[in-house]
Amino acid sequence: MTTTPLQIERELAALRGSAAGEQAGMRTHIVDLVAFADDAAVATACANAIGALRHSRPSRALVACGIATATGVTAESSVFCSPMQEGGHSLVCCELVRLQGPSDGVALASMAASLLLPDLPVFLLWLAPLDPDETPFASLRPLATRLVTDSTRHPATLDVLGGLIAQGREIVTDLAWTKITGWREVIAAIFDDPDHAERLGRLEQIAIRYVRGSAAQARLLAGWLASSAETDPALALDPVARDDMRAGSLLQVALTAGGVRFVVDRPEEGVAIVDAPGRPRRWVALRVPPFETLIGEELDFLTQDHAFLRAVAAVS
Amino acid sequence: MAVNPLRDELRMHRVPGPCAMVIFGGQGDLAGRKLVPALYNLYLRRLLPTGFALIGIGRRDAGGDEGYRAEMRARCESFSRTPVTEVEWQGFAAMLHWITGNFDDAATYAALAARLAAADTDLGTAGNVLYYLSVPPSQFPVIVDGLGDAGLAAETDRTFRRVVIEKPFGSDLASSAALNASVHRAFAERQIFRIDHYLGKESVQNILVFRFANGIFEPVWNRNFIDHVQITVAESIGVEGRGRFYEEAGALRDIVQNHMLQVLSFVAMEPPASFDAEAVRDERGKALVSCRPVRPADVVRGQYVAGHADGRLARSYREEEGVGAHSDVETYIAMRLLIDNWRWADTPIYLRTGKRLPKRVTEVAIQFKRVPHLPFSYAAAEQLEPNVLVLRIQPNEGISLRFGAKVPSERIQIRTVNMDFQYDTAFSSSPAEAYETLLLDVMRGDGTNFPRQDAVEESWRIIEPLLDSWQLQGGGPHHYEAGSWGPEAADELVARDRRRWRRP
Ligand SMILES: NC(=O)c1ccc[n+]([C@@H]2O[C@H](COP(=O)([O-])OP(=O)(O)OC[C@H]3O[C@@H](n4cnc5c(N)ncnc54)[C@H](OP(=O)(O)O)[C@@H]3O)[C@@H](O)[C@H]2O)c1
Repeated sequence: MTTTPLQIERELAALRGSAAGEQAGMRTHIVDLVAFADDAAVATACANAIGALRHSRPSRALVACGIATATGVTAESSVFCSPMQEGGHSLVCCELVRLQGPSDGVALASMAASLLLPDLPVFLLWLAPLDPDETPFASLRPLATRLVTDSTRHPATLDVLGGLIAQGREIVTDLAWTKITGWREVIAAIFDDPDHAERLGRLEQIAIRYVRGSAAQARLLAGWLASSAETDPALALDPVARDDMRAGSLLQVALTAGGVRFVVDRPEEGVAIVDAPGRPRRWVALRVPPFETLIGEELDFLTQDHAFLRAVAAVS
Repeated sequence: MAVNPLRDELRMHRVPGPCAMVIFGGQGDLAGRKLVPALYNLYLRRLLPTGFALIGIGRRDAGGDEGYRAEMRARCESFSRTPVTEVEWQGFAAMLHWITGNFDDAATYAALAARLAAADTDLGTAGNVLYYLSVPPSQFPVIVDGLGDAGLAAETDRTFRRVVIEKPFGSDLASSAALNASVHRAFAERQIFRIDHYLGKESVQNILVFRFANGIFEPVWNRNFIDHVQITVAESIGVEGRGRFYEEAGALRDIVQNHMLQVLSFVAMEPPASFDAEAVRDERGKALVSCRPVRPADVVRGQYVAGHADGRLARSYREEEGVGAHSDVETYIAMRLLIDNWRWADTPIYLRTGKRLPKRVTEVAIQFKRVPHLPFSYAAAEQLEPNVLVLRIQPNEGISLRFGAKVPSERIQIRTVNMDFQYDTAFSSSPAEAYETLLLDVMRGDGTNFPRQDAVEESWRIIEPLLDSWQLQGGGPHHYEAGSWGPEAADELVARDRRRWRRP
């Protein structure tokens, strides 16, 4: 049955009351999150990840899913409450509303607009192919202060991001970028070494091996390195088949800079081995965080990530 | 040194430069429970320097490097906030080493010098060393002299040597000064980092942000608007096998002299000109300088007797292991402090701390003055309490504000309600352990969160009259039941000023 914002608000209030019971249910208002998926399974995975966020839960999360056969908007509301750490009497509650509606997204967008909590930044998590000029993106976009896309899942997204960023309407990042933060830290550490620092400017070649399926993480990493070098390094991207790791995950990054070669190899999840000339081989911890941690990390940022913008510009 | 352009951005942390860390007392309780687990978590977070080695030293044979690694793995499995996994542990363990030796033996320092030289070559530690004295204070002078004599304390233009010491920093003003003089025999003040783990807590550091990054609180943060301040450090546990240590210390030395007065300095300080370590420490120091020495008449000491705590019968302090049957050591203390400056004159600061209280909580409560005139009937406002701003330091780090609100009905009826901010629910990363933050600070050479010697000596000066008077009069503590909020005399202390303690 189709629903109205008022009905949803009433349902949430009742759910909050019964979930918290005798104990006070409280919400810390930091952000509103609107997620859009074009596939019910993805929407479910996203809703589960939001429920699993231990910290940084959005006060209210709206997970919208476009369905070709839908005629109106239907909603399913839930409230997660968990005790505030040790022995506290208050519970912290997060509201989650799953919305389904026609896939043009116009009705979904209007419903989302009326359900947002006031005066908070809005994160739009886009988990569908992205066409900037088409609904539903065009109808949901005006709500967003911050847009987070996922080009590991939809590799073509990376090619439209440059255009979106140039319009300067919202703060943009991509989960493929969030996934490679650890890799970037390991590579940055190579150039912390005073003996190698100046070689970064003389980057000659970037060779990246990654798990076949999506080149987004590899491209962003290459773009990031290229945008930090004063040269125009040669680029080699090498997809390989691997069953034990997720599609798009990086396996090896080899850099030639100032005439020497540096290699970071990830033989298995959890560890990377760094080889730099004249230095002992190093093991460093390197684990790609789960989906909910990635979302949590993004929810902490409200400013433009300039390194990301430069990386996108370099691959565009 | 030029900033690595790859790090000049939002998401990347500042990783300290290469160094070796030497833990004297590497098999002790603190090393296994806090220090090594903190280093392991820094490794997982990729915040350890690229060139890093950890060298444990102690008199018991750990079974070489491998034995020490196995022992520390077991400790990390029990105490690390992130689970230990095989693949990650192996990378970390390769950096751990062990030296067996006595601290008063020159051969120990010769072995250390050789090990440090090897670490420079094999692990790229670049000649920088941080010595962590995780040993009883009686060993500090022995180790400092050993390092000094072996030439291991001297810095060069390109390398640093730092020393970290743990509380207690003396047991009174004179012994604190003597301890300091002994550390200064080999290290200059800027090389010394005194750990007060309270200062590594996010919620303590947030006091400064709360006060100085918001426009609405600082204008009312003074005697014109604040009625009084209550700082509470309550523990529900007893002395838990540390009876012998506690007999030497008592609540005053264990908690008030260091943690509580340091927290007070954050609450009371003037705005610093910058967030530079020295600027912040100067202002914190000035706040302590303005504190009047406490009068014995403004203090209540207590000691717990048997009672019910945490739903179980708890024995009395005197029955605890390592405690004398007639011990007069205080396990509770409450006091009234005054700060003689323009901001705080005549605004009492009440401190209380104790063991075996009903719950574990550390908080600072700022109680504001009542409004000058209430335009409501007495009946309407009977339940209205003054505004209280509570900065919760542990557990449930956060901030809450109590204010009056109208009870929904056709008549005016006012009730006090709570508005809460909870750290844990607001940001994605769980706060790091205080030791992770503080160890990183030492590696980076940032002294902001470490008390300087002047602050340590000021805090001894503030409580010195108590030490003197107890020594002279030997007055015993009041008794309170385990599981209660302390002796009645503590309630009378604040009731004298027509105030009462909050129930946290
Ligand atoms: N544990 C805590 O939570 C805590 C909290 C705050 C401050 N602290 C401070 O931290 C320091 C260490 O505390 P801790 O609890 O870790 O003490 P601990 O468990 O007694 O450890 C001290 C270590 O030093 C070694 N040691 C002592 N005297 C020695 C000597 N003469 N020669 C060689 N080795 C010697 C001990 O070796 P053996 O095992 O052979 O005796 C042990 O490994 C102390 O200053 C304490 O006040 C500790």
